[in-house]
Amino acid sequence: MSTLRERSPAGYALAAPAGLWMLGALVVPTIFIAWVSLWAARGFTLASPLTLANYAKFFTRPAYVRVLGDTVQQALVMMLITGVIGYSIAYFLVVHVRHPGLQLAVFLLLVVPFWTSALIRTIGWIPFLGVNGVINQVLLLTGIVDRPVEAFLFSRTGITLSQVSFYTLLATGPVVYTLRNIPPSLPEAAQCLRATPLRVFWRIVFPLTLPGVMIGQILVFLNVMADFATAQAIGGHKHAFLGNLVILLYESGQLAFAAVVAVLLMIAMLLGVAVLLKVVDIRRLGES
Amino acid sequence: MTTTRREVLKGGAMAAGAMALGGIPMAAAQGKELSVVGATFNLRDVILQEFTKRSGITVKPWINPSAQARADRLRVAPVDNLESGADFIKYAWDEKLIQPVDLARVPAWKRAVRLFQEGQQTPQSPVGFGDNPGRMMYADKEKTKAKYVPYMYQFDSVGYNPDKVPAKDNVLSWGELFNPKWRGKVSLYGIDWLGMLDAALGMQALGLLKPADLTNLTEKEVDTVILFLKEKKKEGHFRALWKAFGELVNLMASGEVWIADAWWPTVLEVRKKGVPCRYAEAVEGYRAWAVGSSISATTKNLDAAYEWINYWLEGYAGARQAEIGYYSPVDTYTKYLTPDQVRQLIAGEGRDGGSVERRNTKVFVWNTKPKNQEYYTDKWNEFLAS
Amino acid sequence: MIPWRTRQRLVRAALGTITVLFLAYQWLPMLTMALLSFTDPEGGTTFPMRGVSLHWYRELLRVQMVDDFKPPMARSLALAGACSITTAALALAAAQAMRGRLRGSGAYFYLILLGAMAPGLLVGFGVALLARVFGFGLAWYTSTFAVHIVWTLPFGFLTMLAVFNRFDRRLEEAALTLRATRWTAFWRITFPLVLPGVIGAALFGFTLSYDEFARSLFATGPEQTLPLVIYAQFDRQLQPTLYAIGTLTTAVSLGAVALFATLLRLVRRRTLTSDQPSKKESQP
Repeated sequence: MSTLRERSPAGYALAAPAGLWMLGALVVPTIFIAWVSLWAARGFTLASPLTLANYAKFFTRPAYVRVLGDTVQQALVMMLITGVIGYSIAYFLVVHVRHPGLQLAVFLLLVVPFWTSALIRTIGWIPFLGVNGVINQVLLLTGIVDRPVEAFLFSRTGITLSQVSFYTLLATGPVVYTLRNIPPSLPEAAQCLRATPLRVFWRIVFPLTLPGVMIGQILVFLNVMADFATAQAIGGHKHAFLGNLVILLYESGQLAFAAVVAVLLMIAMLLGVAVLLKVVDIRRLGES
Repeated sequence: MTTTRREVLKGGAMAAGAMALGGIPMAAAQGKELSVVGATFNLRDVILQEFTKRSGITVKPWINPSAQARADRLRVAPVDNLESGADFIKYAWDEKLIQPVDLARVPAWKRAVRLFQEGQQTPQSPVGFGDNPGRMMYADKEKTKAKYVPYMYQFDSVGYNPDKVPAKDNVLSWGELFNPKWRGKVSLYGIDWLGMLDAALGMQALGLLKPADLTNLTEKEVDTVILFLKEKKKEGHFRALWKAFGELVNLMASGEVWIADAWWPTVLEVRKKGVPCRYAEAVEGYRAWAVGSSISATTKNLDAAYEWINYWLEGYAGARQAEIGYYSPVDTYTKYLTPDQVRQLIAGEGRDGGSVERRNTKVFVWNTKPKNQEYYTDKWNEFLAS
Repeated sequence: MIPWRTRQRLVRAALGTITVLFLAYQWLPMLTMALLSFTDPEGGTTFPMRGVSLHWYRELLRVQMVDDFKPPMARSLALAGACSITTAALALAAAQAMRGRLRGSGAYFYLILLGAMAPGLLVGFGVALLARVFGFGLAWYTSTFAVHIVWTLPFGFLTMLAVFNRFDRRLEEAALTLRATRWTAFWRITFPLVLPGVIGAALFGFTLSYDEFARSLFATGPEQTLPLVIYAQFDRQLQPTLYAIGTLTTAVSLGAVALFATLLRLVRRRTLTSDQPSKKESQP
């Protein structure tokens, strides 16, 4: 028994508001955009004939396919970097930092920057990475280089560097959560059975944190795929990912084609999540 | 049910909050309102405040950095005036989003400089090609109606840091932008058709391109330009591309960029930050653009809309824009400037490029959206993806 | 063979270094920003910095017609507050509904999660075009609000699901056998126990909405939210006023999060079960 009878009408009533909201504010606009992407007309006319030619245009131009590839590649690189750094930080926080107050303090230090608008933080990275910026000043002072390094800013490297700062927390948080939920009796039992610390980690701890790792990877994947502001500001407008393409195409009046890119972006994101979910079914989050 | 109760509460709170917040602008909710769509470089606080003070009409600005978004705004919301450059005025006109302005109701326009009446400042100066307002802004042959009324214009040329980039007599060619000596310190306009126009200007100066119409390159010519740009990108020639005025100022003021296609207000702002900056007189001539006000086709405040346009040509707004480096086609603004300012801003004393008169005679090309823009965009995206 | 204890210390040192380096990496730009926010009136958003002054903070306070950040800030705060409450409510209802094992709950799960998986540009774009078709206006408290919830709800939903999954049903059953109505059982037993999850969902709703940019880009009307106004500044001089906002926000967040942590601790102490292990739970 529970406060909700199974299959009761009350259940459907509770589910309705959220479901209807998503249908109205998400599904309908998405279907609409999918329809726009099939328009043959150039401007905005509802009576436009439909065609698949816009999609053909995307896939027959190597430049556009390349942008798709670049976006996915960037996402994968970021997933790897944030995954490794995120796990290290999470493990350190949960396992090695004994004092709970200190744990909380460090966690807060990680989280608070998120409350500052991402746009402002993005702008803040420009003086940080620039030729007169902090990183270069440090490198010059310590004598590691004798000329400022230009590659940190307005380049793919710069985009990656700043994205690491923005998205690592997404990879850290869920891992912290799952690490915490491991009852201490499990690794202790393994150690009693003479397992080495490495084996304890690899065979017991890591698999139990896998759901957290996967959630983190999914979050990072989604955010990097959809990111356009960082690429624009820190990439110096010299690079284009799928998100940038949508805006660029819209601004030059190619409405239907912009819709095509938006739809393809969504499909790529959905496919990616589906693949990642195959590894771990996150619906079982929290169940021991 | 939990949710319903909360929704009702939330709805009520939202409504109250919305009413409180929606009407924050200065003047009281009484009186007329004028809905104007523009950018941050023309819809400036000081200008709007003065207009409200004089006319009692509250301006409700809608500002967006994207010119396309500004034009499209007229489709989805009631707007009275659209402030835009000739390029998107053409677009709005073709899409029937704006109506002709009756110049009889804008008496100050008669005092516009010849550049805007005829398309050339003197009979001997070149007729800048492309969307030359003097040629394309009028809606009829008798020039009694206009698509828009330009109230500020600017000449784009090459902006550079004189400490790093030598220029004899402050004269540079557009081709200087592509001089390999400045590799890694160059910026170019990041909007596809404008960036390519500048690239084409440079390439023409270097003899790499001989287009029939610089503002409407054929597909083959576009290919040539993009190939050239891609090469330059691979060499790391461009430090960054700039899309907005503020970005370019920051690029030059932080020392990241030494030379770029720029306009006078950029130079002023960079100098204010203590970085030397000059604005070259381009050998081939300037690329000019003019922003002005047009009237929406669906406006219900026609009189107020005309009042707005007349206000801009009356002089106060022109003077404030002149202070940050823009010019007004109509010479009414001298009465709002100090004699010193008049000497510097208009007669060009101590100013790169000299007087307004001089500049007007050297306009080579105007900002123009090409006819085959889709092709431009696709090739530009290739450049970005490379 | 390195002794186990030394190995552990080495691992700890390595991981600790990574953590500290990362924290520095994340905070140095913030501190750079804080530093630059005190630049003098002629300064820009980049180095070199010229002089020190409170000029940009004063600029922030000055009421202006056009570049004023305060109304958008107020709107963003109001919107975030509304999203916070709505997300918590909708997520709670949806998660509770999922417990009832309704038909189609698998599809329902994905429907909700779709909100996090759909690119913001597409959603905003779609809403804007639909508005054009149906002729309804876009406004920050209608269309922007709608798309913000689409974005925040999946996160709140996941949080609630996680909390409900760890929830001990026997407590409810006990209440029901003692002849409490389902309603009473829910409010007196279930709700207080899942309150941390509700607060977490509310927090998600607030944070994600306050900073939301991609969806709002197309879907907002003439009165813009704070991120959009900041974006509009790119057209003009990027001014250190932005840094003043950033620094102030950081300072306020530090305070607010500390407050939240204290609240959470208070809530924990008031929960009924005393036999739960004292693991602290803090949500990202």
